[in-house]
Amino acid sequence: MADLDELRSNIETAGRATGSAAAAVAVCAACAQVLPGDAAAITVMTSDQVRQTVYAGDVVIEEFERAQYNLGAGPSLTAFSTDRPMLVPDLGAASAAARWPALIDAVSYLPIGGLFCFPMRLGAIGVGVCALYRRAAGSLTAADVALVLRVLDVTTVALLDVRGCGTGESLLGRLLVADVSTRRAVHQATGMLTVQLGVTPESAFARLRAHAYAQGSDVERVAFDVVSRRLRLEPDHE
Amino acid sequence: MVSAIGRERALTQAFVGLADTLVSDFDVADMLHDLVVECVDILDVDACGLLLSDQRGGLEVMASSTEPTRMLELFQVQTAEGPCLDCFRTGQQVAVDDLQDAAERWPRFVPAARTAGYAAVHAIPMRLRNEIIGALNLFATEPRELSEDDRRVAQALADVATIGILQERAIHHKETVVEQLQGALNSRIVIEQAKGLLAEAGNLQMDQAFEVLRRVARSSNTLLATVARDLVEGRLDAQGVVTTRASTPAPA
Repeated sequence: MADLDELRSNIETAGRATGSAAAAVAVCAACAQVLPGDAAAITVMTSDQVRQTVYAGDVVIEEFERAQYNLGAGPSLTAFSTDRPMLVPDLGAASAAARWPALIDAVSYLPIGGLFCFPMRLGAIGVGVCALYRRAAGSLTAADVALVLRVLDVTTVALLDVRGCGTGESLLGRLLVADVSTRRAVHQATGMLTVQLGVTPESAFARLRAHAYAQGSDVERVAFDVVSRRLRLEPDHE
Repeated sequence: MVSAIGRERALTQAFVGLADTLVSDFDVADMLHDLVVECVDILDVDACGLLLSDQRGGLEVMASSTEPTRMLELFQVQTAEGPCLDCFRTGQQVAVDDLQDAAERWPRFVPAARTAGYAAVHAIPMRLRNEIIGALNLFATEPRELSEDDRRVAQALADVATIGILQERAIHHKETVVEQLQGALNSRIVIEQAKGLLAEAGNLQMDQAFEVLRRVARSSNTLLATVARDLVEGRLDAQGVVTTRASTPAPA
């Protein structure tokens, strides 16, 4: 397929960008050029809690991904955990609101019609999710879906390639490790909350999310408040 | 002697079996064993062995149709001599139509092969472009040539097997990369969580909390991530750890 040959060559060039974060972003950008829709985001993840949006084609899809991280539930997570594309031809439809009420409410201001999430895997292991959107509602054609799947295969291979990364780490590796550093406060706050609330780390993180949602804020901002001791949370009294 | 139709059927079966490996999970050892047994039939030889690189500079006897063949392949590996070894090193087919004429070339291998009852050997390289991963070796009890046709068939079988193996290795390698990655990542996360936990439990700054974590790991000779996981999962009591924090070294 001529498209994919050119894509592979663009990826090769992109991968040589200095700084592995820049290289990873450039690789994703090269792939996103070939994808259908108005813009795409590529989020690398190992779990609901550990995820980083390494590339976002525009601010709309970037905001959508941030909302999914803040709230936890959403089509990207469903696609990742079920290993199947999650295709929502009309994000404004009642069925979407019924399925992800908090998320749809939080993103109602975004001009998203069709929203399509595809898991990115290598063998048995989930590597991330690609979310792409169109302003207009409507389904992707079968040809579009086939193209997305092939492009994402190429992208995944490129992100996991260890050649050309000096220390033998892949681009993906460097990115995720960087994510732990930048989201350090989130993990530290989680640890603090396990003591403050007397709960497991999973529950602590869920409380962090819940508090951010209730305050109309971000998980990361709330985490900074917890770590700097401006904010304490009290145990739930059922 | 296999009839022409019988041979064609066997050959088709062999190729179909090998092609399966490209699309589904498969066991390399099983696949290679089937291959050597089928080669004996299809190519009308008396035995077949297969050597594969162990990816660390050595060779392994991966499959053989008979025990004496296995011993002979092993012998070549151990003495670092033989037509199969030469085939692996050069990536070229090595044809020994009559072992009697090759005694000078392989002074240790030839007597051993003749003692095992073999009179001819044909070694077929397993390679993809510049990567040579092993050799497929055909043995006959009578001196014989391998026809042009037979050599092409043998090479085709070796080629399909090579592709299957390389594909499986590539996927396995990448899965290992991802697994190691996730392991390393989870460790870093749990360490950050443990820092927060200790900071809260002992009313400490984050870097003090980290020092406590390191001290516990050092004194119990455990990995940081293990201590962190024990704290976060409640197997190690945080209060106990922060209150026994020593601020001065013990007197000599």
